[in-house]
Amino acid sequence: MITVSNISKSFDGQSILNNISLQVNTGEVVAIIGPSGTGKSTLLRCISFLETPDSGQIAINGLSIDAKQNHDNDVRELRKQLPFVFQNYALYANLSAVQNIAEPLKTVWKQSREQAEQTALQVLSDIGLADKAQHYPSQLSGGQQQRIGIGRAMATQAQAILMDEPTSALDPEWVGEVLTLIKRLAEQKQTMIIVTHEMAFAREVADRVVFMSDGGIVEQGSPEQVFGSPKDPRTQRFLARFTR
Amino acid sequence: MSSFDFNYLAGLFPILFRYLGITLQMAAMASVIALALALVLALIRVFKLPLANSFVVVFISFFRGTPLLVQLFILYYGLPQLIPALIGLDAFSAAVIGLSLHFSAYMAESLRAAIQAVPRSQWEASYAFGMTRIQALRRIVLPQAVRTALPSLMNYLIDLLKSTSLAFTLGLAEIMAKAQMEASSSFKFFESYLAVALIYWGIVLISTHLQSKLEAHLSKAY
Repeated sequence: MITVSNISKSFDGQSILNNISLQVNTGEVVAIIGPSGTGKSTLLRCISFLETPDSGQIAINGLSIDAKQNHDNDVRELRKQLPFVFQNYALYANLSAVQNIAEPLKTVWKQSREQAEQTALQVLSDIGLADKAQHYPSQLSGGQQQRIGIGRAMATQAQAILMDEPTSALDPEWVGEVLTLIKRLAEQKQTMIIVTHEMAFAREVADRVVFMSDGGIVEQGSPEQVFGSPKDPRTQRFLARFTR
Repeated sequence: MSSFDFNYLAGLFPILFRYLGITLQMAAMASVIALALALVLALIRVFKLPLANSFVVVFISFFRGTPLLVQLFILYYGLPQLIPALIGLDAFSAAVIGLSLHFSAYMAESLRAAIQAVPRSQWEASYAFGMTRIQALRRIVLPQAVRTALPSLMNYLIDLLKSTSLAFTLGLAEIMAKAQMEASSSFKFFESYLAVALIYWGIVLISTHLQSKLEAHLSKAY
């Protein structure tokens, strides 16, 4: 379970996140939707301390980190448990596909080289890219890179995966294969927090949809509630743009 | 006016080759020290370590802003007057230290630029999986930076090798000094210095060949 409590963040005096609290249960898939520039990605980055929040706490399985007094060791332990999938994939450019997945296992999870590579190959065949094991990121399509980005997170078998607009940078032809993979993870009850602009996908995959606007959570609930009968006018206005 | 003495030139090579060892030894030691020091200096600059950063800025500015020959003279002839402990410093060590300091300043700047040219997202992708700064640097960022910096680092190493010839001004008997001795006893200056030039050229050709092989090997990767 991930507990986000009272997270606030501002850049250059401009408030981006305003006292946000959110709880994500084990096995739950939470989709965060909302207009651009409302702090969705910042929230996700604050959860893994890629941005240090100005105030608030993040707690995950007995580990609780306060924005104001965090220790490097705790932050690393938190990140270890919350692997991140980036919008621009951010695969390690100097490593092959199999090494990209094996790297965190070796360096952070202290697995032996053999064990890490075996796991990595397993994950690659799991995501249908076994034949690309020795390819470098520059030799792969956007869709393949993002599947490896997801594979890199899957391989750690960590508590939950954070995904920051995983399909936004993809050419339309590659979006499908990435969404299919995420759907499969959802079916396996992989805990995930996904910031996304894919409304149909959020509706289909998420257990809970969180609508954010102006640095706060406006409303949240099951996809049926949020998409079917949104209560807040801001949610209604936002969703109206997608349903026509 | 005398004509070109080919036999004299040919006869010089075996003599000069006996002194080649000291030149190569000097170059090898200075290269290793300069590279190691350059990495430390570059990292201090990249991470902007307080205090150390300002020191490094001045260090790099001084060693890039003054001639190597002047630096060698200060180190070998000047400093021992100020610091008695340095009186025992032999010419070879002085040359190695001088070359190391001088070229580390240049190489630090190319390494710093190359490290900073690695996209921010590569650091983030490392941190996001729980890596420490050192792990991110060693496993992900530095390998990419070295590839970028390699051509300019190799150029500096070649420059360093040729600059070892300045050590003769400290009275060190390397190939340049030997050639000068031969020249002043035979008065065949052209042949003598041509012989040194050809030897340096030969070594540089070999180094350049190795460099292109290394670059090809690294660029094959990704």
